[in-house]
Amino acid sequence: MKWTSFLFILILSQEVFAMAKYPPKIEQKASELKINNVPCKEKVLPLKIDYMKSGTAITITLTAESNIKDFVVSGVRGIDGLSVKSAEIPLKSDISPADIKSIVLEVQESGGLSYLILDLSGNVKGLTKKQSLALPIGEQTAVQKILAEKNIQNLESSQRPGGKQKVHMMRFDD
Amino acid sequence: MHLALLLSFFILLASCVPGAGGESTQMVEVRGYLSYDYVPVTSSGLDYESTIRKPMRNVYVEAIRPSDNKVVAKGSTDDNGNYLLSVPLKEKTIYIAAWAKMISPSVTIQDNTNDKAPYVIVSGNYDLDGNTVLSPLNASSGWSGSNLTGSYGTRKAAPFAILDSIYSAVKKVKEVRPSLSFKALKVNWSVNNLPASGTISLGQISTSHYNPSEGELYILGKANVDTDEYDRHVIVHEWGHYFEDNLSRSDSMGGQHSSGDLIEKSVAFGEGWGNALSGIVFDPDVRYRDTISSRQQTTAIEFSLEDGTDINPGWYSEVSVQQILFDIYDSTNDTGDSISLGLGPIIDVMTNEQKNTSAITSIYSFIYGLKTRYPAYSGVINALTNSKQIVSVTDAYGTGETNDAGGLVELPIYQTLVVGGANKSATMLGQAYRMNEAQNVRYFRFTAMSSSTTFNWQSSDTYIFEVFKKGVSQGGVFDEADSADPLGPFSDSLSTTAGTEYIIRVTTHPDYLFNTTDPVSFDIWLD
Repeated sequence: MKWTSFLFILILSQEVFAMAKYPPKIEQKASELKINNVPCKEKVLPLKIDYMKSGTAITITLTAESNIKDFVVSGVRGIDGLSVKSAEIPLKSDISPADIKSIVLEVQESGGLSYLILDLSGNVKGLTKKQSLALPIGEQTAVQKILAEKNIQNLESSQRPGGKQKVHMMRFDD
Repeated sequence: MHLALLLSFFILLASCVPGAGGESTQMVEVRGYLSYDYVPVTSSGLDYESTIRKPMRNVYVEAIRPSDNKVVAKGSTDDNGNYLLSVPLKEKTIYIAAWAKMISPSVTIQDNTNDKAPYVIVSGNYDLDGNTVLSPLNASSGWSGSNLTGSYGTRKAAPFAILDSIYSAVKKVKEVRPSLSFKALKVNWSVNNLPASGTISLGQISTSHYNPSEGELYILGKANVDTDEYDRHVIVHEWGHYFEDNLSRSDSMGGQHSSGDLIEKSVAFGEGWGNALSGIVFDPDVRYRDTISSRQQTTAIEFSLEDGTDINPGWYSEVSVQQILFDIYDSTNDTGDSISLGLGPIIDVMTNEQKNTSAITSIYSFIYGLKTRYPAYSGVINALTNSKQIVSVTDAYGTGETNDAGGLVELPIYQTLVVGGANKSATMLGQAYRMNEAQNVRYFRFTAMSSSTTFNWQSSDTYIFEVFKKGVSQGGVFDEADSADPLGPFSDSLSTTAGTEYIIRVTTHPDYLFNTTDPVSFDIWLD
């Protein structure tokens, strides 16, 4: 059984601090102390999400970080080889900080890295907000990696200023 | 009839240029036209059924000899998507390669899931025997079918759509301030980029964002989940963070944010700036839209930069910031807005006063800079900020601010410390709020008296404090003590410059607080 913690916005989970030794001293290495300063696209729903996979069953827990009215899970689906066989989805409801909603799923994997997609919506501070998010399931396989690189080509050094270059090559339609 | 087809009546132009060995090489000018599919954004998602072709503007183009893939000519498209390349007359056959990149300024769209390989799209071969006008080329969206039942094939237009939105932003800024130069920018986009945390090279980028440590943008691209390549206001919003980081200054703590939040004032300014800039760049399309979900048929976020809802107006509201900035720019007067300065003065303040402020970047530092430049407009600027429940700005520190969000945030905005003077105390509300919410961030300011300043502090719970000089971190403390550890008083020194002002930012991280109910009290004094 494996628990995976998925913070709704990765950015905050990437914070890097210089952990203070006791007694705390002013850390001179500002880059290590600096609070993560990555600005990102607007977040829409204040939720923390954890999920647990056991065999073909996945249990997702959604923990509200602030009040959400009319919170609803409007869709649960798999992509990249994951299919959802059945899902117990919570009913539309109002949720408050620390309230937890659970989604219980039965899935079928085709192997490798795939994603479970949640479509969520709710009203926060009077504004209706919607969001799709992805939960990774499994690990990328060698075959998937090869497929992902199907449009990648190497341009030879003798033909390019600056040496050999890897490019993502596409073709015009016309 | 297309312009490129009209050009087919042009006479073959040949000229001579010196070769490397002094011999002359006869050249011929080859012309063509490049476009990409643009999918409009609506209130109900992407409207594939209204797809139009837009010119690839300022796109780097090469003519390549097929036999050995040698580049025989290079250049860029103009604002109409036309290119003109001088190809050696001896070249009988070429193909065209259009890179998703601009040379001036340097912007490259690359695939972060494939070793950051840049995107390039190539034509079939052209026989140049008497043919100097090549047939038009288009990069398709890859969508086939209706909005509700269609699906994606290869998404060739996407990197060019992103590039074109950035070009729109560059062009808008350069129109008013042509002397500005832009640092090279890499934009990471992939069909694999999706809202999951994890490994960037797998596309798990969390969300579209600007990474200041790399100086690069990351843009979502996963079909049926969240794509942003046609959400052009999102693209310019993120480019706005690049602008702020490179040509102005951002002291933003970053992190999650949402309209309606009481957000730390530098985060609020940065996010509001990005939103406002997106409306300015695409004016009169002033509706910010962000599409998601199955077939991209859901618009998750939509608001007007001109008159969108601002449920918590004030210095801590990104919505207030974006509407103030947009009102300074636009020529439409509305409630509190009788100012119309255009974009130029905004850029001037961003690249001067905002960049050099001793305070933390915020709406106060921006407005103070604007009023310093335009004292005759003080009255109308006061009316504008007052309409957003922000005090009439008299300095970069928000001195005199009275809006405490109904008692949720502590005032004044900055407390002043005197070296050798009394201690000052700040209260943060703690567990119920994120680290970057205004309820959990407090500021102090002081002027150093010597080459070293001793900081003394104590707290009621875990805390983070950091010392800044003009936005540059000088050092700080992250104390993750548990309930058994003492929380001060502590003391430590930091090198300082006499006569220079420093800012101290104190915040708490809810994941590290051991007391989940009480506010955090933090005391500090200097020697």
